[in-house]
Amino acid sequence: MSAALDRHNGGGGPVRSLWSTYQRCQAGAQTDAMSFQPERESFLPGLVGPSWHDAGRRLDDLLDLQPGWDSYGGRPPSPELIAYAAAQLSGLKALHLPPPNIAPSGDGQILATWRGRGIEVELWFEAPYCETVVIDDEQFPDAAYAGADPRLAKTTQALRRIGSGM
Amino acid sequence: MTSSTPALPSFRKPPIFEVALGVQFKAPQLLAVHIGGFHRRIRDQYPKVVQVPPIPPSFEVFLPLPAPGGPAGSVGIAVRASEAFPRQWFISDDDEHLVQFQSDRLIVNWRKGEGDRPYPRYSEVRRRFTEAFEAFQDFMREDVRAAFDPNQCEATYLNRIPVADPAGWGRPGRWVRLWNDDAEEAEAVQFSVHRLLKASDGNPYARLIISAEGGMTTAGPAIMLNLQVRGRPLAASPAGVLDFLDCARETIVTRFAALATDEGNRVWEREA
Repeated sequence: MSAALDRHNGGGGPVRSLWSTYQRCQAGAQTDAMSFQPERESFLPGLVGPSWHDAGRRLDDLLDLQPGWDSYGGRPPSPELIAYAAAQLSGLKALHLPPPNIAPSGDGQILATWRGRGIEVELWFEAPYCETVVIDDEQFPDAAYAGADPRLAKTTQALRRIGSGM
Repeated sequence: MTSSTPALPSFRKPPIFEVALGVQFKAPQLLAVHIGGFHRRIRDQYPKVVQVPPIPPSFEVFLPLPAPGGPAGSVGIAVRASEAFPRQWFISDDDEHLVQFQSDRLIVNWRKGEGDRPYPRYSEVRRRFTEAFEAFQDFMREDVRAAFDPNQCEATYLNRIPVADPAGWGRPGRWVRLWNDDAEEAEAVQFSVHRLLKASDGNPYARLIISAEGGMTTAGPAIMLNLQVRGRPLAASPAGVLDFLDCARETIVTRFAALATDEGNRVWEREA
């Protein structure tokens, strides 16, 4: 599992993480998604329904981040990681899947998140061709997953379930 | 398209107009002063310099389902290139060969130009790429002190097929088997075909993109037939880059020969 997720989860970054939820699922604890509260709200306050246009613009904005952008010595994502995330997300867009919220993490990764129909998806772009997904599904706890997702098969499956309600 | 490998198809007069071999890598922290450090290593062969806007980084990605609407990068999410470090063209005296260099790419081109310059064959383009690539690795090691970390490679063959008049560019089926709807004259034809290339484990690592389009060139009406292989080197090393390019060239040459019609074989003088 991604060390970055661990770091991020305890690091007070700008976005909350499903990783703690996943850990509870794996430990066999009962996950009550209805009572699950985010540790911190989205990096994009007020952006309730993201669009693909927003996601593209947000990715482009990441190019302007400077070292220390989060006041905690945060590292900006590299241009090649931004381009790689854009390519992967473009593929999801072409499949008519719902758009994500986009946020950087303090250690130079990019996080794409989706929520809907009781499903939460966090897709962490760590480096080109290296990503991790954390999926939490309140209806089907067995569908919870955290791990590598090289061709976004798990992500795509979860997003199709989210998108089916749109 | 080349005759350097006996097992591959070869044409005496291929319609090749330009060939590019390139690698994209993790961008090191470069300053403008570094440009001279790299050029110094290849200046004897490429004395001319032109500065052009950088190409944004791009990646071939492979989702579990085919994504309609073309390659992943073409559906609207594109990020700009960093403008902090421009792209340099280092050009040979006769304008035939070109080395393109920016903070995250190295590309070597052969260009036919407007004359009747013969295609020097893949072996020569590869030799020039290897030379520039070795110079670049020296530059990274000695001047930049950064590791070379390739993340994409590409081989591109641009073919220009002259046609007698503009009506001819609506009939690419005369030259390539990708298009056979010549019963009614088309005003224009433009298409592309994408194929995944898979590694021995069955997972895709690259994409072959074949595109054709008619248009007016400085030499008159023509069909532009482009074959490109882009993807991730199977080994993130200099040897992995060269292996990728060799495999890409083989794929392109084999595919081009499979596409050529009898008329194409005759005009381009297929010899193997």
